[in-house]
Amino acid sequence: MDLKKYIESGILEQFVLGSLSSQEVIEVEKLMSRHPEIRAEVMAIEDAMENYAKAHAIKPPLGLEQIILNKIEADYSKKNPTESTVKSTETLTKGESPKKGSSKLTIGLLLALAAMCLFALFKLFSVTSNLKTLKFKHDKLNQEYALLKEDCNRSKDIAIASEKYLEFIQDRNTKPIVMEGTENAKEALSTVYWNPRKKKSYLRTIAMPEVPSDKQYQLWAIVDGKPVDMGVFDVAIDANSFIEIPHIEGAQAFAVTLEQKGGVESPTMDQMFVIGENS
Amino acid sequence: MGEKKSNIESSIVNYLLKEDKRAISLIYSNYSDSLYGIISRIVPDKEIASEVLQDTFVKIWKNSSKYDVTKGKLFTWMAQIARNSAIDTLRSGKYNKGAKTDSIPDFVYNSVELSNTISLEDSGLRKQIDSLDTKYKEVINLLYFMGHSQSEAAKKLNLPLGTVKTRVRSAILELRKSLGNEVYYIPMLLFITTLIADLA
Repeated sequence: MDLKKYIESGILEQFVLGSLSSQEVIEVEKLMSRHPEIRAEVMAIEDAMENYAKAHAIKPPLGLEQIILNKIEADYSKKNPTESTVKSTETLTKGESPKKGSSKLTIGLLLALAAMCLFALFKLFSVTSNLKTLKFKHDKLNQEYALLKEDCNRSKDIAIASEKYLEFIQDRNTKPIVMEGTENAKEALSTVYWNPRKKKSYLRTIAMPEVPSDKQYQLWAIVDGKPVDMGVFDVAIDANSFIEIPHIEGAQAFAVTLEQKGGVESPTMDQMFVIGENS
Repeated sequence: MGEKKSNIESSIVNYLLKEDKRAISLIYSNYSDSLYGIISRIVPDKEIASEVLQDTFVKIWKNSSKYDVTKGKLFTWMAQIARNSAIDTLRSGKYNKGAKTDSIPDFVYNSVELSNTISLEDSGLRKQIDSLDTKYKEVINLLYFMGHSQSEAAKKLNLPLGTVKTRVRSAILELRKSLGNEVYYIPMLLFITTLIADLA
């Protein structure tokens, strides 16, 4: 048969609209089961009509659903008398209508959501405060670390210097020239290590009085009876400092005077603190 | 949307087969307003229309074994029950408030007033259907909402039978076109959404 012509005849529309005789309905149903094209066409028409009805939908009065469910429940009890008690409690609980049930569900969901939000907020707050504490600790540790690193570097420098010092004073050609305290400071003591082979000299301050802030010690070498300026130095409070000084050939003696800051050209003799001869 | 709808439909059919009353709740939440819309066009009295809707549901429940998926969609079957129940009520003594039993209220094909009381859901769909030509609407309303035959409609509208036949087909083709637009538009949108989600 010509399916296209059949489809275009409009009989399928009438079938869906319910305006065919029962004889014609049976015929359409038979053709539908045989021809998928016809079945698809019918379904498309049905979709269109379903939408047409939906577009003209009207909300039934409130409470009608419960009445309907009760009616059906009564009918159901007659059908299955043994099951009625079980089923009736089921409908009673369910009978609160799915709408109410779903609104309960919605409220439940909203509450759960609110609780979750609250929890998340609390969590966020505690995490943030933890983070702050951690950051504070981190900063503190960083500071401590920097200080320790500085200490460590200083210790290393000192260790290196000490080694150098030891090496130098243990050298067989190094000659210690001990400078003893004068009348100005009887307790004072310093040593010059003098090594003519290596042509190097070091000053080690052992016990020197503290000086006013506008003054500095100045080291002198005595060469041919004349003082030669060897530079100024400070005495660290804690310190057994070991300072490299210029090497002077033929130094007969070394002395330290207290002078104006920055040093002077010739020593102030009555401000001499220590002196030692190079024998 | 189409898929979701057919899922609902198949679960209703399953429940009906098992005589599970959840079928009724599902039908009520998904189709009661469409069915009530059809009934109200035939029986304008609200109280009587509610009774007809109750009847319709009881009949759906009792005759569920007669519904055959291969012979058409669930809604077509339910709409037929609703329409027949409403027409039966109209023709019985129940709705005999002075009107002749076989007279059809004018609002059926002239239903501006009723249209205003329609729920605002699916307003997009409503717009599409409102754009349908009046000459199509009156034919569809007579056949679909009143269960008239084509020749009855032809008589009522004073038109040749051939014209009514063509109009019915054209009207439904028009409806299918607007429905088609909507249906193809949604998967496209979904596709684009997933594409964007994938990219992000």
